[in-house]
Amino acid sequence: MVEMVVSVLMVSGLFFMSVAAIGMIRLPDVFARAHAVGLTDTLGAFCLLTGLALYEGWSAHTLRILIVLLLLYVINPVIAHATIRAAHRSGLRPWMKEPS
Amino acid sequence: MNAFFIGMLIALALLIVVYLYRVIQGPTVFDRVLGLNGISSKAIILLVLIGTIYERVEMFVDISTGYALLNLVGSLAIAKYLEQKRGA
Amino acid sequence: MAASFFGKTGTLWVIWLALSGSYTFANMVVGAVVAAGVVWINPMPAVAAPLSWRTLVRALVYIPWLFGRMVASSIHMARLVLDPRLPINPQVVRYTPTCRNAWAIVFMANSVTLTPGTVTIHADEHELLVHAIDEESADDLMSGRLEQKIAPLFSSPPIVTANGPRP
Repeated sequence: MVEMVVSVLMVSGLFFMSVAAIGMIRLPDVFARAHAVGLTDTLGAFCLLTGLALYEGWSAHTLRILIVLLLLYVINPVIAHATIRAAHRSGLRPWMKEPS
Repeated sequence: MNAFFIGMLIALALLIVVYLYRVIQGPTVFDRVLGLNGISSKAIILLVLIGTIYERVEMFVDISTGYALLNLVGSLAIAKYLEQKRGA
Repeated sequence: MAASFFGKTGTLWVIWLALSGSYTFANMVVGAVVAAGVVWINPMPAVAAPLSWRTLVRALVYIPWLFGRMVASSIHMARLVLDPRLPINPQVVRYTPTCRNAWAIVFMANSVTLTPGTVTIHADEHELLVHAIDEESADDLMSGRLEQKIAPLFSSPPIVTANGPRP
């Protein structure tokens, strides 16, 4: 039973991470790519690490896996924000569909 | 269950290759920074997975925590540096 | 001084215990000594976090809501990315928050990054500069639904920012 939940969580995590990777290739500029890294990747990491924590069962190590998860949850959006802020400050402008 | 974890490991390693394409090809330096961030978040999960496979999670979790914190500091430093380079 | 010293040391000690994962007496003593030393070397300014019981209870309601939005956001992104036509229409919008509380604006910026198709580019007391990936996300932000959720979290008196009180 636990193994099934773990498998489902991890496969969905892998799906979101693959979406982030495909987005990394397909999206047109750094601002749009930040969406893929900041959001989708974080959710993928959440699913994968929750699955691993469930598999480990309840122990002190589980708590530490959850701390890594919390760190990733805070770090990924912050880095995405810092990167596109630097891009914006250094004069890059977002890609638009039709030039206005 | 171990076979499943090893398959997951290989899939994540393949995803790193996709990000590596963006790091090498990236038109601007910011694309490269984002790509490196994506690679390190994969690496963190890979470390925890390897720990689960070898049943030594307590050791690998420490390494991945350090990796996450180094990733934060490094990426913020690079972003700050690039911001000052042309923004001033 | 003394109270804040013990508060910071206690916080660092709990983090030490959670990270080290072993609960022997020696480890606890070493952790307490190291935490006290770190606080003694780094005179961190006291962060005036507006923590009250009401804030905590409301945060417990807010965080699951935010998580639900995050899942919706990722599914939305997945639909956009996997669509062969790539139906994105990126745009930059300016959002002027009505609340003047610095904590609320920081939370707002972080939550905007986590919700559907929007990433904060720049944030200050006056406005948020937000990059939205399509019209749907931009409209959702401008409807102010997010701010209605965040504003009640911080109804304490506004905190004076680094630039001094706003006129």
